[in-house]
Amino acid sequence: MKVPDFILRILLKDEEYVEKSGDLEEVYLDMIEKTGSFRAKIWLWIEVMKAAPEFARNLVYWRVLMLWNYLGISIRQLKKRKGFSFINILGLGLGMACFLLIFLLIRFELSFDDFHEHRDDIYRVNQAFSSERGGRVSSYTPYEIGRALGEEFPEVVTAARLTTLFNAEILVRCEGKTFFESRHILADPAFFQIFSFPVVFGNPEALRPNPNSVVISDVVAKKYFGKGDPMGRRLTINGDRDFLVSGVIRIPENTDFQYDLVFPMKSFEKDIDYGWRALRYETFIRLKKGARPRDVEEKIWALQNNNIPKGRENSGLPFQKLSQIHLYEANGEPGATARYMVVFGLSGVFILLIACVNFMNLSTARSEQRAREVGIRKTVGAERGQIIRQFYVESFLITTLALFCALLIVLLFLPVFRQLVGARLSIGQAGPQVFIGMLGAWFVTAIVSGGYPALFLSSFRPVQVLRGKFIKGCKGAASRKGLVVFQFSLSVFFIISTLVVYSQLRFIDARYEAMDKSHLVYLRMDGGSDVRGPLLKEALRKYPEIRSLTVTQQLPLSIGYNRNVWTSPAKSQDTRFNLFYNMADFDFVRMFNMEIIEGRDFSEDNATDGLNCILNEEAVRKLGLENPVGRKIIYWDDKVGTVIGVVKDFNYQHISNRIQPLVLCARPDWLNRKYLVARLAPGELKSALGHIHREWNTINPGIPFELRFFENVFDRIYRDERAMGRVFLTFALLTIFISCLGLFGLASFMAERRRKEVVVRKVLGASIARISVMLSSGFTKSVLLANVIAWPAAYLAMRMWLQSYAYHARIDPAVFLLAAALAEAIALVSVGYQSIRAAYVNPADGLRHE
Amino acid sequence: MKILSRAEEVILLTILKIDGDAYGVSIRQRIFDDTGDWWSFASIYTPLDKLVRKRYALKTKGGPTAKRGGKSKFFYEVTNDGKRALLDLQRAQNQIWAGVPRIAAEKAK
Repeated sequence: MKVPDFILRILLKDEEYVEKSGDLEEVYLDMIEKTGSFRAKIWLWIEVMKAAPEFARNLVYWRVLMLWNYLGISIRQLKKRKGFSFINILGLGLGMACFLLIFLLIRFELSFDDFHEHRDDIYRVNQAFSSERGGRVSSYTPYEIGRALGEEFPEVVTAARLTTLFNAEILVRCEGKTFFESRHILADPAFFQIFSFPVVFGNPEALRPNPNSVVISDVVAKKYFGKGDPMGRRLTINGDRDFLVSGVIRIPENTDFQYDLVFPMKSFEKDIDYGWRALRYETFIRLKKGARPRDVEEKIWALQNNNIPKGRENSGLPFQKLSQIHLYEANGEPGATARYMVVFGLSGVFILLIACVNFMNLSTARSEQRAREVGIRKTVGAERGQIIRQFYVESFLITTLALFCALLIVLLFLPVFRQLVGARLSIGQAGPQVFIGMLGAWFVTAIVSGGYPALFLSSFRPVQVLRGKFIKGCKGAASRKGLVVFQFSLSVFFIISTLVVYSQLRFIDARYEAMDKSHLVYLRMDGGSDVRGPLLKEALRKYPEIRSLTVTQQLPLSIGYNRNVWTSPAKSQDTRFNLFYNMADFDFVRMFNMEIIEGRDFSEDNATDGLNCILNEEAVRKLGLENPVGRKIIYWDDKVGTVIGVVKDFNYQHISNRIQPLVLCARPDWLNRKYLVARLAPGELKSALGHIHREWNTINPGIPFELRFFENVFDRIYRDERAMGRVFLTFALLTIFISCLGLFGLASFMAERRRKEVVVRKVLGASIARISVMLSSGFTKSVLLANVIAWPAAYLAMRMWLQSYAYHARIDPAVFLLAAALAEAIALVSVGYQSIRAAYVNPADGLRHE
Repeated sequence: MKILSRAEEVILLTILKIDGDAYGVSIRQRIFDDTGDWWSFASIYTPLDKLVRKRYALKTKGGPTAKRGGKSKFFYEVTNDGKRALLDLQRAQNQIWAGVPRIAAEKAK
């Protein structure tokens, strides 16, 4: 009978088990002979079931009683070694705090758009197509896709398209006040039937704006109307269109739909781009419960292909689940956020591990002092399991204290961390999951960090230990060294990563050095003020504090428009090229200190320069021009211009993109220049800004004045890189600090243990310096070994990271040496103090010790 | 003085009577012989453990036996404290029962 026996085995201790199970077996075997095995079995089961509750109660009773005992002993130990306890609790607390913060961050990123009622049935329709550059998936789809899905497919409950107004910023006037708003969107009425944003004002069922109503966020509602009721109030957009507020919604932080104003698509009829091909709309659908997305996908794709010319078919309309949108690209590959989360998550786990290692090291280092205690306990009858349990209680106690410490740190540093990673986090919004995460971190930490000491210390043989045969330092020394190496490998890894990330940041800065962006400011001329751009420029020209001015369509930090141009003599398939372009005043190239390497710059004196253009080197290569200067270019509007010069390649997009072919032209016949850029004289910032503000108000009365610094745009573009730099720096500092904390504790125990040896050496004439070196040399070697392990790992990881940039810094070998020197120096400082203190001990004190 | 429970009393008396060969199975057998009831092991072990803890009974490990799957028997004997407790109990019982037959007989009428 295996099962009843197993039950007894669990519930009873060794001797009890032997007795009880023996008794039962004896009667059981007897009964098999007399009454047959079936009845015997039933009898045995009944017996065991009757006895089990009592046995279990005994077990729990004794366990709880012992637990109190263990707890008492643990608290006594904590008080006895205050320094040791402090180091342990602080180290573990920091590790857990870091882990918790990262947990909060990851949970936040995973929670995006999880509050919508129909989230499991919402999909975004993406457009897959193949071009000469290979397959691509766009998250934008043509107008007709959304219409057809909503109207012709029974599986689809409803479909909504989203698109932006052509101008990024709109001018909102309400009750005499004006504001620029950039977080706006045009949406189909079904938008609010698909997504369920919390409604502050208005009927959630009726959040279907008719052509003249608008749904706004509670943030702007407060900005426009204060505490008043916003419902039915009037907003004037761009000076000529009136909308009435029909609802107010709250936009949670964890959504990708960060819009303050939702306009009905219908009210901008003239901007609608009907058709089956132009990719201008994000299309969201809500499927009926149980409908199979793949079937709908196939059908809508077939429908699209029927409606576009033969030979131009797309390669699919894959649906993407709402929950995937935040972390994955349209093509299903993990996006930048997902990759950062993996890096953060791993870092969090490793930092927690480093903190656990401290605990393990310090506990086993003290094993000698605890050995006698374990020996005595075993002698008076403690089983190994009991001793293991006692050490676990100790680790749980310390972990619990560390958890409180961690919570304190989290509360204190949450605002800093929020800024560090640029995400709006709070403990409250995460709710019960944080609690579970916390308990998980607490439990895992206690088990991991308590496990090794428990098993190690409980394995002592009482006879050896009590006879003093415990071989000093040998037991566990190797594994302790291994753990120190592990800690410092991670520290070195983080140091190298930080240095490399910062070298890449410096590299990026250097790429933009020529532009000298520190004194550049720009104005966005919205709300119809762009037509007065030249006027404003003329007015500002007279101030000496403003060195130079230009008016441009796009900022040279982010040029994103592209169009087709043709090389002469004729438009044909072979001469067509897709180029990025920018239109600006003649002084654009000079303004940004771009280098003309062939031909000449635009010139005021040359009347035809309005049509002429300058190519970048990449464009010359792509167009295959041998002598570019003087060649003719046919523009998208069939006008013809001449190439007058070639500009050196410069980064006009994020540095992870290769520099693409670019054509710079003036084209004063196109009025779409929304940026006025000014270079200010250093040191005269304040008066220059005053002039600009005054002239703006004279020329554009009633339009908000919004001046921004180039530096800020730059920071926004490279926000991820900077955040990464700061985060790695923090991680590096944390790992180093925690490791050093452990090392410090370890060194103090080592010094104490080798006290007698030190004294004997001193008596025999060793110098203080020699002894200090002797005591710290072991650690020095460990840190060196850690470097050897960390170097290749850091090299590979950072090379992978750098390769995601089209232009990146080289990994300087000096980085590795610097990291090694840093780690070594920091380790020496934390060990050195203890070593020197130990070396100064008075021999008489040391020898009298026993 | 604490009065022994009925089960404790029965078991202690049984151990005393078996004299030398008292272990779980034999105790249970003897109780059946005397009372005609098969006690469950659970109802034997609980009082037994208590008696051992109160030091009224002494538990000693015997040698392994083949019949029990190689497991050792654990024998019980009554300590002097145990014997004294039994005698105390008997005295108390007598005291409690004193006069009861007469009262019961009167009430029955």
